[in-house]
Amino acid sequence: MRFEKKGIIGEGIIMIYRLLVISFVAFVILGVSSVFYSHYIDVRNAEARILARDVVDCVSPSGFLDMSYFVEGDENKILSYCGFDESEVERFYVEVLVSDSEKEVAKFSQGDRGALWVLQIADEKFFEGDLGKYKPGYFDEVYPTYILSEGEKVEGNIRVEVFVGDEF
Amino acid sequence: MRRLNKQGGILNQIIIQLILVGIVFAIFLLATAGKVNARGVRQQVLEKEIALLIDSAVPGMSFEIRKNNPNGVIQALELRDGKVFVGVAGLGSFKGYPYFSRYSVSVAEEENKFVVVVE
Repeated sequence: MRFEKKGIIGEGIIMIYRLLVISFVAFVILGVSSVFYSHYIDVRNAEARILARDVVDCVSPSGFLDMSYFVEGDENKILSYCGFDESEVERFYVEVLVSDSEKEVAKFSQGDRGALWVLQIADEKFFEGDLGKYKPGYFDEVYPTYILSEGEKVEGNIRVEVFVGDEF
Repeated sequence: MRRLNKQGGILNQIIIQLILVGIVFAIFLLATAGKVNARGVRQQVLEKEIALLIDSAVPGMSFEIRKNNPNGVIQALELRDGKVFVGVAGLGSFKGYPYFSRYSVSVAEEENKFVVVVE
């Protein structure tokens, strides 16, 4: 009879121990899964729009684009030319196309061109549901400007395309 | 008869244990995940809002973020390695959210608010 009582107490202790282990495992599983399944808020299109505005303000301040300000090597470093730190704009790909009424005058870019085909794939509806958060943010706009080149002032426009990769 | 009693006792124990385990999982599912997700979303909202404000700010601008925010009480706001980190409602930030700016950006803590200054 005494042995039976001890046995019951022992079983109770083992049960508490098991529950503690299960609670710990549950806590770890839920903690980790909550990180992966938390709601994702996408602001990359807004970031693309802001960066496009900044780049246009930089290359064409007050609506005048002076080609003499650019030196050789700026073509692939337009964000650095504008004063952005390279580490801050790792997620971005920017392409700036300057043209007058007849031809392309200059082309500037910076970043990872891979964002272009990632967006293409995403647009073909491969990125649905949770994968949507890997679809790059995108902004494309044409701004009118005056181009100052070799002492001449001509009307033209600036086409800016901005791609924003994910932050993961 | 005695053998049947013993088997019944084991079955009862297993059922009790299963119920207790189920209760433990249900409590964690409702309490922990719910709270962490809600705070995580509020943290994400704050970090992204502040990052967008910094992205679009020009020199001379400053903006205030009240500690008693509709998204929860903000304990910490840091700008580190090009990222915004916001600690909200007891939830610290480990990842942060990246911002970009051509200008110098700093944050100062005051009694009941944080002030972000763009110079």
